[in-house]
Amino acid sequence: MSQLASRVIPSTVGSNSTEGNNARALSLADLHPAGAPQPAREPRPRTPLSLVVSIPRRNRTPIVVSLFLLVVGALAAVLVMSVSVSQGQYELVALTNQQTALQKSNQALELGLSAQEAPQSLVARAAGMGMVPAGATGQIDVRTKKVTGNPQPATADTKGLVALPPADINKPPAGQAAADTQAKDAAVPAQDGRAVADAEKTQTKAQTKVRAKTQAGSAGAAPAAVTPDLNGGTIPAPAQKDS
Amino acid sequence: MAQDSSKAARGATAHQLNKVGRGRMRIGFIAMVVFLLVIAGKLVMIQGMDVGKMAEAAESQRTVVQQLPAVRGKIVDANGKVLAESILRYDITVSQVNSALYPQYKHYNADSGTMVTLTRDEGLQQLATVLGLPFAKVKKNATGTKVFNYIVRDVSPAVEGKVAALGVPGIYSQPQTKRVYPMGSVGGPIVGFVGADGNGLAGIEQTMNAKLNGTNGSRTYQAGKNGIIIPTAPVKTSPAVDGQTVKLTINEDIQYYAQQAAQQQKEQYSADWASITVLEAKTGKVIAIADSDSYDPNNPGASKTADVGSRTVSSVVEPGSTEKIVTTSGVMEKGLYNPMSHFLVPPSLTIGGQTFDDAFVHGTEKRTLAGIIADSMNTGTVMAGSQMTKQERYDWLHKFGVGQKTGIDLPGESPGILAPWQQWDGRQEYTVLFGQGVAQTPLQSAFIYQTVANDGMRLKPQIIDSTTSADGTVDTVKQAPGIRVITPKTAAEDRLMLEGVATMSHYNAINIPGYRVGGKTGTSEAPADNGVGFDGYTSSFIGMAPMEDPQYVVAITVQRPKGSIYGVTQGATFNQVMGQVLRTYNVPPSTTPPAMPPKFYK
Repeated sequence: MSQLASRVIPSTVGSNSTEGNNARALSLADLHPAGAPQPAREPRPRTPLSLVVSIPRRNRTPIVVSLFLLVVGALAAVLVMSVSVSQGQYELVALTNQQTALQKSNQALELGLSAQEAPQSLVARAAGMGMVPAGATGQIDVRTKKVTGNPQPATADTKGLVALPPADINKPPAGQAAADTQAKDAAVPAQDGRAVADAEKTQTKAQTKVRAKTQAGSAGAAPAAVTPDLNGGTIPAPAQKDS
Repeated sequence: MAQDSSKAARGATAHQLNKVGRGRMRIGFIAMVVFLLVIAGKLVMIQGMDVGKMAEAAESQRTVVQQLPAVRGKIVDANGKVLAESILRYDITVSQVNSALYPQYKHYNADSGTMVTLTRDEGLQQLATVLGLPFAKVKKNATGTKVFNYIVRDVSPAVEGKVAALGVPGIYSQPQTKRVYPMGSVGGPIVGFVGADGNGLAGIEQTMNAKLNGTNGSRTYQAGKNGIIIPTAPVKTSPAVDGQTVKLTINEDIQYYAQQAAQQQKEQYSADWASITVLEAKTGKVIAIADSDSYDPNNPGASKTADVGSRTVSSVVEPGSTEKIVTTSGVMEKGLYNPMSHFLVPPSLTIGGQTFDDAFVHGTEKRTLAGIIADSMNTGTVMAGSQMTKQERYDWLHKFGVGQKTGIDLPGESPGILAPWQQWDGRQEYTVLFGQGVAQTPLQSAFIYQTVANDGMRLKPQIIDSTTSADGTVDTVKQAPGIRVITPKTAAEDRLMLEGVATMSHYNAINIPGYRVGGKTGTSEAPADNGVGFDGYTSSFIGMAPMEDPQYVVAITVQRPKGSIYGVTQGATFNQVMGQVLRTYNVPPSTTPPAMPPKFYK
């Protein structure tokens, strides 16, 4: 366009004459270097200029897309975090439940152990095996290799002291109670010193039964306590009553 | 010109456009403002003014305050064997209303992986099977109009797990802390028991209640309807501090043996009761306090009220001849006599208008003081003891702890009865010399002999060895400083005479092969329960071993044995219990020959 303009500008027009036209004026010297002859041309009518209204548009798509992606990304991150935190919470609840169940079964086992350790139970079992209290004891001096005291062998009819009743911790379910009574019934004559072979046999049998039952009970108890009732779901309900 | 015209043309178009757009925008704007106002109004109402207390209701619905119960501390014996502990038990409860709502219900069978439909009766039948109860009883408890009723109380966690797995509608479980005593009646009166509120009502449970009880904690959090904790909501936790573990000085094996022996004595002589105390002479530690008919703290209600508590610390008896050692200590400490001092003992002694005889018939005898003690002569004891003033007699009894509580950490201790000497009547001033007219607990009697065994230092009985707090800090109970009662020399002379009882007396039942032992029998008339006269006897024996350096004291008291009192002997029981103690603690056998102080002088 400027080339076109230069072409229509007469040579007499000064470099500053831009009347009615805000197009840039160029000096001839700029267009035609010195020495070059100006060709004589017929001046052509000037084309009216108009303002270009259209604002040059830049493509904004990348920003929108990146913003959108950013938002989506952020949301996704929040979602993932939230899910993972919730998942952790579910795991925590499941593990807490498991811990509680294990503590319970551990407690039951420890209690069983204490009951087995109780002297009453030891005495009853020893008597059941046909053991009797020691007679007079003696001492061996390892330095002098001498036996002092008056050691006597125990005899089968040695009477023990009266037996004390075992601890009454559980009022056990009917089946076990029956077995216990059976054992107790058998134990009474044995501990009274009227230990006939029959009574001992019955007692041993009864005790084996009780022991088997106890073992079955405790073996059955542990998994029952560990596996929670899921009601068809996959996530165990939390136990809030105890931690 | 061209520019102006185009500008005008364009301006018109924009203006028109604006006009149309502005109209639409205005409508949209108004719609949005109205919409926003509605939302904002609602927001202000809900958030700002909180109409209907929504936020509060929501928060309180979400907020769960969970109590974190502190576990009551254990009571263990000297070897760490559990005497008392708290465990978790469950009550199975029912809402009869809710139960009636489900004549049929669906239950997911975890084994087969299928849903099964069960009737209420079938469900209750399953429940009855798991609980081991008759179906009729379960149904009776589950039927009615109550919102809360017990099906059964106190079942184990394993049973509760099975009940929960059944999923019977309306059936719930409540956790309960239960105090259990795995050793039962062994040490029962020492350990005691707790009441329904979990506070101790007897024994160590009572005296150490403050230490055994912990501090409950709490946890406040927010949870959804499904019970899952909302992770972002604040959680406030103040942890529970569990109670302290109390370790006793009691040895549970010795305790069992002593209790057996006490029961044996009680039954053999059809006595009212029997008590055996085992002490460590040098520390005052109580190794066993055994009472006949000890109750089982798991079920204290099953015992007679009179058997609840330890008679060893709460029952007073007239000690009888075991008290003669106080008299000999007094006269020897005063410098009047020594074990070899001479006494011309008449068959019957009359002094101050009072006549005293002995348990066996004898003529006038030339006895040493040791001989008087060996055969437990009242006559000779009064001859020696009457050389002290009444106040001195009182002071010696008082110094040995008669009439004062020993301070053992057990409830219901009796101080015994020691009347001030000014109030003694004409006979009592002499009878106190051989243990009548004065009353004390079997524990006090045992500590008189502890004093003699420990070279004259009377110690406070110690039954608490240590306490261990929840964080593992062990607080060992320090032995309180002893009280100097007699000099070591007097104590040694007393011990010589006590050994003479075992070696020289016609009463030669005291014998533990391999060990030098000593002790003193006691027989006294037991005052009748109604306070009028006497009813039966109190038979006792207190001894110590090994005599060259006494480590242990065993005291046996049998109240009102039936049959001829001369046939009653605690000697064999002492041998059994002391033998058991010496073997348990691996006390080396005596290497020196037993002392045999002569009973007579020439």
